[in-house]
Amino acid sequence: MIIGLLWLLGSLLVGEVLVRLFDAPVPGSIVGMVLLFVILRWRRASDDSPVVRVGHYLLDHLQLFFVPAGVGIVVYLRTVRDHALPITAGLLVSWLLGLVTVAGVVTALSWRRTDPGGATPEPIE
Amino acid sequence: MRVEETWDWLRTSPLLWLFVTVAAYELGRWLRSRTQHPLAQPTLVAIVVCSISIELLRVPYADYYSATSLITFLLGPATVALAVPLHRQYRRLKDFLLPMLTGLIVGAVVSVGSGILVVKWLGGGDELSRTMAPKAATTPVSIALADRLGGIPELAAVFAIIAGILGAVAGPSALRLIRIHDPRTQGLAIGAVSHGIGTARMLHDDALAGAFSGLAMCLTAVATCLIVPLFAAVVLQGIEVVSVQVDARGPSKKGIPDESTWKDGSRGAGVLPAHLLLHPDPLSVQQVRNNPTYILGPGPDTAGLLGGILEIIVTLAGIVTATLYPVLKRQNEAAALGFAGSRVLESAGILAGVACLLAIISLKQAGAGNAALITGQTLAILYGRIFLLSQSLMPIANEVLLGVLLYQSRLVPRALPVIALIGAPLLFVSTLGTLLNLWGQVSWSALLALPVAVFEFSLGVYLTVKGFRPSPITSANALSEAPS
Repeated sequence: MIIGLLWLLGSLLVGEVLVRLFDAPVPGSIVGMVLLFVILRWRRASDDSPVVRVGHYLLDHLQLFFVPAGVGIVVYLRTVRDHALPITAGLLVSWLLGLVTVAGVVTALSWRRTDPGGATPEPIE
Repeated sequence: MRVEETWDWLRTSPLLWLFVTVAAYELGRWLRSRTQHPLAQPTLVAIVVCSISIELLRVPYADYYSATSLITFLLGPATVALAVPLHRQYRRLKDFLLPMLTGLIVGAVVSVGSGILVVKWLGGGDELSRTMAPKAATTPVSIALADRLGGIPELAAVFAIIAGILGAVAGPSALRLIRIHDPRTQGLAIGAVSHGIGTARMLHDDALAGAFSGLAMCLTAVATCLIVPLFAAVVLQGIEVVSVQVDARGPSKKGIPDESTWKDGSRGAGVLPAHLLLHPDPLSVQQVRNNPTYILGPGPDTAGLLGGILEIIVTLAGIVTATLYPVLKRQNEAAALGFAGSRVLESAGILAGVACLLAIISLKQAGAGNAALITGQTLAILYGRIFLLSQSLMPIANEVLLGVLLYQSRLVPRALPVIALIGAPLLFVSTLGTLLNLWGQVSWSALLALPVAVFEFSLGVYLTVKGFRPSPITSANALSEAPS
């Protein structure tokens, strides 16, 4: 448990330091994630290694960690009300467009693999 | 009894708010397992309960936030922990890699771009669009990005969380509505727009979808980090870029009264640098276009004429690529026909533009003088607008159709059509921004047009040097087997 936590905190630490050293436009946690991914691939971490177990535990309760930031809406209710149209439309439209785009592109590019019935007996490859 | 002192301590104590937050979250989990209702998302329930609590007890949000900083801190390690599902699902993801990467990059471009444009278009203002831009990425990423961009970090977090809750509540039904039933595709789409909160819902519904959703969330976070600063610079005029400015070649003499109005007109048509990238000799065309008094001056016409001729050559080259039709139709006839049609339309537009250009030169040669000044400028603006429609808007359809056809048929290495599929939405944003006059004087639209230019250029080079790869659709016997 502690060893797993150390790996997570260590990767985060290195990521944050790197981001500050090089003034990179990427948050440290993302650099830490990439770093940890490389380490996990390199060490061929098994499913019961401490870092995997701790990681799963944290991810199981991922929704919890968003709560304090989400409560921030009480402060911005005024802003949200004043700009209700651009905010609502911006959120809804770009959310829906993004969803449909990803689903559409992935389906278009991988239709052969996702075709469940195998409608084409000899798929083009 | 020291009720008042105890109460004062309690209101701002981390202990109370940690307890309330975790308890509200647990209540949400309990509701989810009891009701199975899509609205019963733990985050949503907990946010509602905690918001009402701090409002009732009149606790400032800042106090609540610092009291629960322990929970927020865990978002950092949790984001790092996303490497774990990535590592575990690595083998299952490899097959899916290219469609997935393409889809996620295109999706990130679309959601960032549409977020900025919609907010700006509806009058939301600069700060609000900077805040909206990173909302598809997971909360810590959007907080950090909004901070760097000059948006409102706390509000960006709220937007990201609303986007997340949208995905958790409505994502699966929306996807079923457009008949996406494959769990991997579902997971990718929801993770891409609704990050951790959507991922948590997917993990709860289906393990495979959850893994893909987690992956989509990681990659979208990375893609958004790279895309958002670019967009911010482009759409929000954050940075001046060294690029060919439309007015750089304008008249240097003073005392030309209509200079400012002229500039406004040509700024609207400011896709000129894209022209630089796509065309061999646009400078000569610029000489004609950007000098309002061109038709009065004594300068030579050869440069303008040469530019016109080169544009005609580009037109012919465009038509020639439409001759890929016989090969491409074996992959998908409808798409191939669409490609040929849009290429022809594009070429027709270029010719119409050249006609405007040649008309300006004719006016000059005829010595039309001051009376023709307005006509000349109108023709130049017309040229710019036709350019926008034929060489920025039409190519989007071209690149999408050609990209999908080349990708599916494997006639060329798949990296090439992937560039086209990424470039098409970028070009769309560039065109849209120009139409809505969002770019200002910064010619970042050229940068957005770059991937498409790279694709067109490298496809040309590849086909000239190596030709088509052997593919089932190039051999004759594949014709009978090819799906109709």
